[in-house]
Amino acid sequence: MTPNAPEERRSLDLAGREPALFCFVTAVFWLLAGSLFGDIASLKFQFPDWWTGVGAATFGRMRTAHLNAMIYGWASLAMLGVSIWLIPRLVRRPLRWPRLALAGAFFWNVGLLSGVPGILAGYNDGLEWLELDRRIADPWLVIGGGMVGGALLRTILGAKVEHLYVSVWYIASAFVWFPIIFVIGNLPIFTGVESAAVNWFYAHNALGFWLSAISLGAIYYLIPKVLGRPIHSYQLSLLGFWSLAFFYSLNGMHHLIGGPIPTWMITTSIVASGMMIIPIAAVAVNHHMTMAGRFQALRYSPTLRFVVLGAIAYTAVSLQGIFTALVEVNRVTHFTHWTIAHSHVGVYAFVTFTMFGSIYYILPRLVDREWPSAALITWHFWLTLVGIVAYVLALVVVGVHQGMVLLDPARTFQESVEVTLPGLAVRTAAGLVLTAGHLVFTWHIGRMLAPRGVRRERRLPPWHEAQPRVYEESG
Amino acid sequence: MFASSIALIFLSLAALAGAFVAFAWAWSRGLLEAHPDDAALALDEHDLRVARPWESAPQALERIAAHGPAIPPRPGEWGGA
Repeated sequence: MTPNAPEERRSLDLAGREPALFCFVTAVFWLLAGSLFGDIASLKFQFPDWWTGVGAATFGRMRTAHLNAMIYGWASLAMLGVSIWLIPRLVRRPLRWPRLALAGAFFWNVGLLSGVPGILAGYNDGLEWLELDRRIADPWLVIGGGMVGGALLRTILGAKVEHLYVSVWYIASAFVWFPIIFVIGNLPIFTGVESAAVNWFYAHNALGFWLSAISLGAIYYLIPKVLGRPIHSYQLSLLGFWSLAFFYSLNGMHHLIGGPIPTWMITTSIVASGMMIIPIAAVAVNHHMTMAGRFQALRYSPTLRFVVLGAIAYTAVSLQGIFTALVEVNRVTHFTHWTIAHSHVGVYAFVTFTMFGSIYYILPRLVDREWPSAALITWHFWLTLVGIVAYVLALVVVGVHQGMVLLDPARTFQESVEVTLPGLAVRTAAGLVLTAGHLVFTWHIGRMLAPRGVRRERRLPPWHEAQPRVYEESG
Repeated sequence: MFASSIALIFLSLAALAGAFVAFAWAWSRGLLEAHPDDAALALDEHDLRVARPWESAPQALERIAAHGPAIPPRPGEWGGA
């Protein structure tokens, strides 16, 4: 247990205030941009003739811009902000080189501001999750990410603690691993089958060693912090981390089941996917046992509501991933909307919910003000929860139906498309609900960062108990 | 087919080697040894003493018995923790 007092913690928070705030504000910008691109892309399934005269507005470009804005814009920048805030607290050292981190976050945004409009203009590397142009956009991301990572790793090297909390393991490994796979994935030296294999090696590891790693690091910090209770088992948390490190890198090839690639790649990836049950069970049991007996806290803490749902979604998407890697299941679900549902459970229900919860916890500590409105938090929570549940259920159901029709030789391809239409309509409606939630979130952040008139910090948020119970030991 | 596998074989081995090197380094530095307080590394005394309104009376008393008199929470989650 760290003996640091609230005053020390406050000084640690303030050392990285500017880069963390910059990351959060720009992340929210990309959240809105990505939502807009996603909604336009989804609407094109209902109105295929809408806005077809403009190249930038075609489905192929909108969908790609949506993915990149969400992965590298919203999720990655939010994770950079969380890492910049969290690491100093965990190693009890102020952030080293904060201006380097700020400049790194700025360069990361430069890469996105050149790459995403580039995608809309038709400049695309043609590899999934690697569409940002490798000449005009990717170098900025590598340099920017490297600068933020450099500041964080330098901070960790000066740690004042003897042991590293599991969150440090997850976050530090992400900043070592991600630049390596991102550079390798973007090398223009792979062709044909090799290119597809390296593409999915990158894409799947970007999910596991970047998005998942930092999100799990945040969850492992925030659940105990809000509850005021240590994690159930530190050893279990290390088992989860190291088994992820050893087994995850081999998983990516299960995206190519049925494709013309060497059989050993598929077989190895299916086995490795099955081995993922170890880290998944370790994380799920640990989180559940930490929460056990304290689930009523979800009514009080918006952070906990988002983060616990994110943790549950991690278990769900990981188990879904294992099943999808099985050949018999993959035969039905491959090339269907099931895959879209799966990716949204991962990147939205798990990563995005965790980032929402993290920002609800961190931002008041960075700006010294409480959130102005509990109602806006409630609206944000329910809009995003209802939106993502409807989104995933609709696409899972029509995805399986679509796969069954595709496998039936007596039915036409046209029928396999038609059976998806109801689900796609629900998907569009759900996407619009999610966007409404994001607008509420953005409005709330704006009110918090630029309060008008009244000193809002004097208004107690509703989840704060105005008259706290004070317990005294008897006798 | 083997020619198409070389890149992935190399990448997979490099990934596993990296994990092994990190594991060996952590092991040699004693970072993987179990310590009684490891599970609470993210917390400090103040975190553990702040009263949580959702806790039942027995849970709150258990907290007091283990960590000392409760601190009333200030605005936020929780009590400035």
